[in-house]
Amino acid sequence: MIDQMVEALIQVLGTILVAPLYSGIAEKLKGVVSLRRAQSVLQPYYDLFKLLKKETVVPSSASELFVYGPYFTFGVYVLISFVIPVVYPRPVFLTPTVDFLGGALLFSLVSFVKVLSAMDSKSNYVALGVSRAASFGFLAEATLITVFFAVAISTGTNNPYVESAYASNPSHYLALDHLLATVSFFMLWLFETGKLPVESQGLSEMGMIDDSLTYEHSGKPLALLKWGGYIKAYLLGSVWLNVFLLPWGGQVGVLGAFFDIGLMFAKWMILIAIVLVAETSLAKLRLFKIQDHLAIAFVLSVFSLLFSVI
Amino acid sequence: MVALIVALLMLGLSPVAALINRRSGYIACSAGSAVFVYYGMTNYSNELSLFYVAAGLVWLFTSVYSLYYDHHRWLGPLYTSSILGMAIALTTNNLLVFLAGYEIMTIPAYVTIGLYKKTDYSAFVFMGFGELSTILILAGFLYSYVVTGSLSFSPLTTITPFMIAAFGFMVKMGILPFMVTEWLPIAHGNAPSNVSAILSASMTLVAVYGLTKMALLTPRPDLFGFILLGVGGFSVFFGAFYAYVSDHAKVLLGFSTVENNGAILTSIGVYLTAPTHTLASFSLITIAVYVLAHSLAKTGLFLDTGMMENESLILPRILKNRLSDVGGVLLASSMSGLLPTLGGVATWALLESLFMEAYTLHSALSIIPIVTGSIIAMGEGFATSTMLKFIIFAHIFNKRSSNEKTRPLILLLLGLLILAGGSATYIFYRPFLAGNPALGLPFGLIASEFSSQAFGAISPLYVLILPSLIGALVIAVFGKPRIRRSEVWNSGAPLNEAYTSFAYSNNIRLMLGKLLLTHIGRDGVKVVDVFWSLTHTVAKLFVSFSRHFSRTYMNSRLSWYVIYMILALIVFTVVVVA
Amino acid sequence: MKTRLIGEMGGYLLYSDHLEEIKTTKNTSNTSQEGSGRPVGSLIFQYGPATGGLIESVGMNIETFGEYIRTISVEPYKMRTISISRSIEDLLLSVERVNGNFAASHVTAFLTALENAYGVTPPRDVILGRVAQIELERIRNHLLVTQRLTEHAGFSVPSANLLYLVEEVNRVIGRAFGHRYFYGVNTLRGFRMDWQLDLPTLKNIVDEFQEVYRGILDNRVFIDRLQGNGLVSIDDSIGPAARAAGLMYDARLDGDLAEVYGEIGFNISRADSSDAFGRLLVRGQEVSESLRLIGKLNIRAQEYEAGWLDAWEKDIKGFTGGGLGRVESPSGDLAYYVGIHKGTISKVLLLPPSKVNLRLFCSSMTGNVFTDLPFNWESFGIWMSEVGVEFV
Repeated sequence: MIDQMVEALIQVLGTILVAPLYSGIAEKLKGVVSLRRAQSVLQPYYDLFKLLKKETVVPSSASELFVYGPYFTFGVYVLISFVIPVVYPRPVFLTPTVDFLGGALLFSLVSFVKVLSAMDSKSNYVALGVSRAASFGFLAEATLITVFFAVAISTGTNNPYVESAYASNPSHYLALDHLLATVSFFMLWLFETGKLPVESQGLSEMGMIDDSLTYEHSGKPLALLKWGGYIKAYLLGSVWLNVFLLPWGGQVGVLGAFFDIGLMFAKWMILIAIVLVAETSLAKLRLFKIQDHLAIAFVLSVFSLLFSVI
Repeated sequence: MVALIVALLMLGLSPVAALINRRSGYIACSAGSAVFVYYGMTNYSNELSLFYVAAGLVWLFTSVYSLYYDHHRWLGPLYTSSILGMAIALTTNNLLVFLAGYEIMTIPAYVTIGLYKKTDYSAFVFMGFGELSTILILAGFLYSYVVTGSLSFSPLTTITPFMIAAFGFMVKMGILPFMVTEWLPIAHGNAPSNVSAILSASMTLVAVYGLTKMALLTPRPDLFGFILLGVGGFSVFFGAFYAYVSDHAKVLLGFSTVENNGAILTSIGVYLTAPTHTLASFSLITIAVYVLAHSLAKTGLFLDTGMMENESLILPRILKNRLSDVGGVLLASSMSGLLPTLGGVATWALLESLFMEAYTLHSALSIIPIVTGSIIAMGEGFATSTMLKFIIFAHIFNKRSSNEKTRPLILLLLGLLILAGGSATYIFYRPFLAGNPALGLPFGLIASEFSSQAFGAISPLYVLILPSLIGALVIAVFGKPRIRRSEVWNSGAPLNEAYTSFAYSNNIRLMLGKLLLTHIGRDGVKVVDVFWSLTHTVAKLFVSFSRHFSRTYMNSRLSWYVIYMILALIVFTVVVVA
Repeated sequence: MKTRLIGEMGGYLLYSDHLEEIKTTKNTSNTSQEGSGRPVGSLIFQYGPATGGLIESVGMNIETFGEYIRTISVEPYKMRTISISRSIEDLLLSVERVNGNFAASHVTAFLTALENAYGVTPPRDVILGRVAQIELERIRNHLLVTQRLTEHAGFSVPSANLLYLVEEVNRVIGRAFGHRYFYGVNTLRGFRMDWQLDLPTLKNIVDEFQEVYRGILDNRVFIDRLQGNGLVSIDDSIGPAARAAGLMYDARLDGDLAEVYGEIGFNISRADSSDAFGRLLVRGQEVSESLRLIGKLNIRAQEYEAGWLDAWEKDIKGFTGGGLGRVESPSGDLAYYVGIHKGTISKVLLLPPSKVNLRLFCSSMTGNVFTDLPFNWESFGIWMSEVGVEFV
């Protein structure tokens, strides 16, 4: 039990503390590719540190939901990092709290609270972005659920750790259902983390989708929302790496857990390389074409489900 | 048994009491409902008992709410007699008494809609489909009588009675393509909020109850179970979809009921087609939990609309305050299928059971649960967006406040009940409890199983506690924010016009224009509900027929005619029961 | 060539060959029209004045029922008046600063109007110098417009490349003329050029631009954002918007500098779609054409301040009259009318291209969606700073 707790601690701290780094590295490389000097890889940490010290400006008619919603969503993200294999390849302390589907429902819970917290500002700009996010929600949430089930159906269990071990077998790894689910999940990840071709972080308010959820926040709540965003990208990205793309190499034991953080770093460099290609060669899709992007991801995941039983 | 008699007596007395004094009628009804809940809890024999608890809670909360809501002379007696009908239908084991209860439940609703009518066809439509439902159920029951020779609910050797009655119940549940029967009377008839809650939350519950009860007595059908499963899935999708593009608060909630009833129907389908006994009992519990989750949450949200001055979400004049805000958010999160609420557990269980079925079947047949599950997943996505829309535009995006305490408190209580209810599901899923002491969960896991092996597991209790605990820890680590207030930023201009609920869902009108037949003209955006247009045509025919009929044979007012029908039925019931 | 209507200035309508007083009031407000009354669920969404997405302070009132833009009205937030009761030299400084990006175009149009009023013609070298400035301005502007479009598409690499190229053009201009926005370069008598124009560097810049430009044209997703976005009704359009629709509308063909352009062999650039994509195509071609023209002008670094005005300046005191000057700015026809009463300027009217383009933008927004707004906006190359200006 003590071992499991230590492993859990390494996994959770490894998630919370390292997640911003990957965003920093990705941004740095993106800057280099576009011939800029680019920010430091530690910039996300500087940003968080700065925001945590700043005061919080709250719209006059906003309630506690606006201020404390981000604390709650951060808490849920931390809980999810106990649950899914994002560092350590075996279940850790508190992992059985929810299964894979439960994890998907927790992600939905976060976006629910995030939307309410943002809308509590009563800003039209937030509403504009939220209305877009809501209208893609049906495909995004469906894909999140079906893609998690895609592996569950091949293994007969909804336990992501079992699924990871199962996929590491080459014959399972190269099966059509696994490959389809891998592609589908990656497309979903691009949407969920606001990457091109779906969304780009920029100054233009007119194209906001996910950005609108942090539009009115400032100070500590904004820091937590941004941090939560890094963690979310890390969680989903690591699931994709550990269960879908590269289900190999995880070491067990307390020492193994430290090794796994390094291993995750190596795996993430691969993901960042893939994202870098997308982020620097793609342009942002027209708003209603995002639906097509998600529909393709959804259909792929449904096909993956079908192939796994037939 | 004593509790049941007391409950029925009190409920039976309440219409009379309401005729004399409105408040005393509601008080009697509340007390009777409370006893009914007690009866359901103490006599917990199988999952059907959970229906009693669900129904009793709906009546209890709605009746207490009505004490502070009702302003109409006839509403009290009609409302209480409808509840009496439901209580009769739920507790009897006799087919005819069930039918009588079903009618006693339905007819006061016609009258209420008639009294509150804004358009004259709403009551007729409701009545028309209500009677269609009754006739189909009657036919199913008669067939059952022919097969078994008994007038009580008894095990059947053929599925035909179940099939016939199932269509009757599905009409009442507003299952695709009968979706319109669910929301139309509520909206166009402008039924008062307490009656809407009863119509939408517990009247469809009685239909689900009848369907489930019949399903328990029927041999396992092959094809028909899959049909129910699939039809339920499509109802989830279309219910949530049309709810999302609705801007009338009650229409939105009515469609949401369609969606939930679809999910319940799917669960019944899983029960009927489950390849293993374990999965069948898992899905049976899921039916009951879903019913409980939906009834409570939907009741709360309908009661919420009772606090609106305007039922359009575009210009909602809800008298909001902190209690009802919190209550509303909790109820909406349950309706969105989010953990750790009751609705979250139900949604999780439904999806798990569908995919467990696909796994255990492991054949071409698996396509049905997989496709259904995927469609439901899309529906759940819409449901989340829909509930966000409701709660944002009824509560969050609204600045008018009120100091009223009582009705918001009822809403808050319901919200807390539904939040805690997620963790109460341990009681219902008793055969599926598990633990993992090595990983910090010595108890408190609900494991979804299709055989002796677990497919997945969740712990609603841990999900209830942990995020808040970690959130509190985050506050402790980083501290509370230093707050300064300022006007909301609107790119440097004053915020004159707020975003509307119509605009919130307009992307879907534009994106799914082919499905909604979206037309943008000089007066704005128009969409067509395909199912509604079809039903509307049928309804118009029906109305012209009824008009002709009433002019020729019934030269007096509708309400008298209906009251006569009630009396006839009560007499009929008394004769049958005696 | 057919007479075409360009726009409204003061109480007059400017045509390609004459100025006409307005007899009936016509609706020329910056509002697109669709139906009357407000549909259920609609709202006025306020965008601006202080936005992250637009360079300048612009206020847009967008009537929408969600994502779909029903009508849009734009108000400039840089309203200002410029006093004309000053010396011509002082006024010239203000004219330069009406819109720094189009400073050369403004000054040239203004000076040409003045010269036309007096009936004098400056030396050919001075005219060639002005043409060179306008064409350099055009190259820079088209690069910037392309950059803005790529930035809104999240197209980070081309966007950063183009920003770099814009800066390079600025440096080329700055080195040759002493100021990257041509401030203080032009005077009543001529213009000042400090160093030889660095044509090889300019050629490299344009080559590099063409490479980036071909790259973005190969990107289906990017093109998709522009195609069908912001279709304009073609007859009342000017500049790149008109040429995108295939029209032969260009002040370089019929404006005051048409003769020079004709001599150096100007080729008009056109496309065949009146949407944002067509406008981008026209700009892409014009960048190369401008480079070619500049190469042919063969101007040298020197102070072009001949004594050509000396004799004439003595008669100026009692002069009364007026003149019109019109040039093709990077965004279309730019015209000044200067009225002179007894030797002093009594009236200045301005028709900035952005005013016409703003109207085109508004009319093309009906039926569009919010996310496509920035693309359509940038494709017109509108500068709000020149819209809210009034000379009194």
